[in-house]
Amino acid sequence: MEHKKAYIRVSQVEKRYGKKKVLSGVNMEAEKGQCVAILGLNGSGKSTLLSILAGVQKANRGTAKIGDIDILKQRKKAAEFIGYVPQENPLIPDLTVKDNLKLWYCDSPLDIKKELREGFLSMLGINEMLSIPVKKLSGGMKKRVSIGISMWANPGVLLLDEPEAALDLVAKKKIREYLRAYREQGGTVIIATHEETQLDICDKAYVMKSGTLHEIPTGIRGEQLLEEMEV
Amino acid sequence: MKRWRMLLLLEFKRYGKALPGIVTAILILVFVVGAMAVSGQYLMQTMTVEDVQDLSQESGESKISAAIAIQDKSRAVNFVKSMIKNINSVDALLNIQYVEEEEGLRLLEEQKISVLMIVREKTISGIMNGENVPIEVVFPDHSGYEAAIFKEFADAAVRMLSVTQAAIYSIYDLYDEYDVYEYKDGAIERMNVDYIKSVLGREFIYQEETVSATGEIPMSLYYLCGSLVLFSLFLPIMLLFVGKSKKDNISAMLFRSGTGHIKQVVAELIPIVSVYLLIGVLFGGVCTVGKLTGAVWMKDISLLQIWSLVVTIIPVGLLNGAYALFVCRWIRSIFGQVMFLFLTGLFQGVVTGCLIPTLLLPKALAAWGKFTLADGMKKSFLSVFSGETAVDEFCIMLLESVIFILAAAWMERKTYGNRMPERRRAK
Repeated sequence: MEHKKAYIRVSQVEKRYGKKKVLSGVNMEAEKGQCVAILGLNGSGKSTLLSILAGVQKANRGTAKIGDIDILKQRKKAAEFIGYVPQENPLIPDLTVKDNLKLWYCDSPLDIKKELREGFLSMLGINEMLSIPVKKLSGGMKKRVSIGISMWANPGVLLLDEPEAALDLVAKKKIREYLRAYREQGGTVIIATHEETQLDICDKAYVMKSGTLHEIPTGIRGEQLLEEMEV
Repeated sequence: MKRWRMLLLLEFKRYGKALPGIVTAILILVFVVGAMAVSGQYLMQTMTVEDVQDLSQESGESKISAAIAIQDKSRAVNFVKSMIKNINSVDALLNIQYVEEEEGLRLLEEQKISVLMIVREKTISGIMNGENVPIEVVFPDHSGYEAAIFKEFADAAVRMLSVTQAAIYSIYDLYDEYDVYEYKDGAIERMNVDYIKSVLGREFIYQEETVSATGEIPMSLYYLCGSLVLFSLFLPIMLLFVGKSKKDNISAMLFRSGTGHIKQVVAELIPIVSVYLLIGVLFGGVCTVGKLTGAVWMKDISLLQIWSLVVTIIPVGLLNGAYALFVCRWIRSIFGQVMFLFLTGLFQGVVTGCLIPTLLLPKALAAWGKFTLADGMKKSFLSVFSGETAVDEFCIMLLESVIFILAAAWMERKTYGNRMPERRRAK
């Protein structure tokens, strides 16, 4: 099944935690099928921006739209178009992978059996670990299951918060393969990361500095990238 | 709603998987609470009047020192003296010494006694013939509670003498009517002695009645109710570890997909209440078997009472579960949650008399009881045996449960509706 087509436009988004201003006038755009990287140092506000786009938390000011839907005002509606994979895997450790999938896919337009057999869940390799309790999975496996459950609504946009953190090379490869396939089907990917290797799969890159986003070329690496990231 | 139903189903599944651990924890809890209840009951049953008297005697320092200066030398006075000496309640509170008036005043001045009572000549005969010679009571300049206590004694004595006087006048009238009034003087002495003997020797007048600190309810049933309250208060601590294994960020993800925080709290609460109910049904089943087989330990309790207790467990479980869920969202560390639930549970158990009946607690401590959640629980359980209705207590428990559910949902929203938990970073 083809993903819901969408593009994202963020304008002048501000966020404060008490007196601390984390985001101060963030602007960004992502076209359909694009992969956008948001780089930045720890605590720069990448995760905050993603959670605002995911509808988990509210912004103090600004607008963010996916297609015609206002993400900040119609959070639940927007959630159907946006899959969100937070840093911490949103899984219930005592239950099996199958049970975790059931929680999300019970209300899904997708046929879970089909997806496990030949769809993207199969592509993520989830069908091989259905009966394993989540607490016994490796970090990479958990991340794949988290991506799997974020896709329950067959969203057009996938937000990933540091998807490759603490993963081994095989797990990283699996996830990249999946993201490539997802984009080929028209899906838009936004990745928050502080790893430069993530830029390899991206069409567009921003750096979060002092609460605002600055677009940078995707080809820069090393010292040059470090200079861009430093405040 | 579909997702909420699935969440509920999975919550049940989680509790089902943790069942062996829960059963072990419950057995430990039953053992601990049972030991507490049995100890309390044993303590209450073995504490006799003599123990209380011993305690009073040990605290001899707290007795009021009183002196009596008696100038009346009649036979009745001597008899009253010996009777007063043998009255336990007087002996428990007063250290009485008989002195001359001058010595008594000196002791009062030196603050060695708290009160001096002067019985003038012909006082007793004055009572009989209506002269009413007053008994003088002298307090020091700065008298405290001793004066108040002694006044109570004096008032009681006055009331007793008034009755005596009325009786004597009635006898005079009788002598007069039968024209044998000249014999009255000889009769007075004997009458005084006999009458005062009857009045002061209370064992001839008063019936002995055993009173219980647990009121009308037998002690064993009182402690059964107390144990159920303690068990209900501590059970959430055992269930906490099952609930805690769910990751915090699931809440935020469920919220964004349309399952609100209240629904999430309710989905967590229903399995907890089910655990309470399951335990209640097991308890009811064991008791029913005991009753049907004529077990001795079931002789004081009927089948209706057993199953009424089981029904009462439902609102009690609801309240305790909602309270625990609120505490879990309010205090983030598992150690803090366990300590808070344990200490508040223990405090509630003590002040509501689940360990020692409130009648025996210091008033200042017992006064806290009515402000606790356990108060309604205990009254509901006790109502099963007292025959009173507990509709008010049920309504209050339901209201308190709703408040805690809303508070838990608000706390969840406040914590995770605004920020996703972040991965712990290596330093």
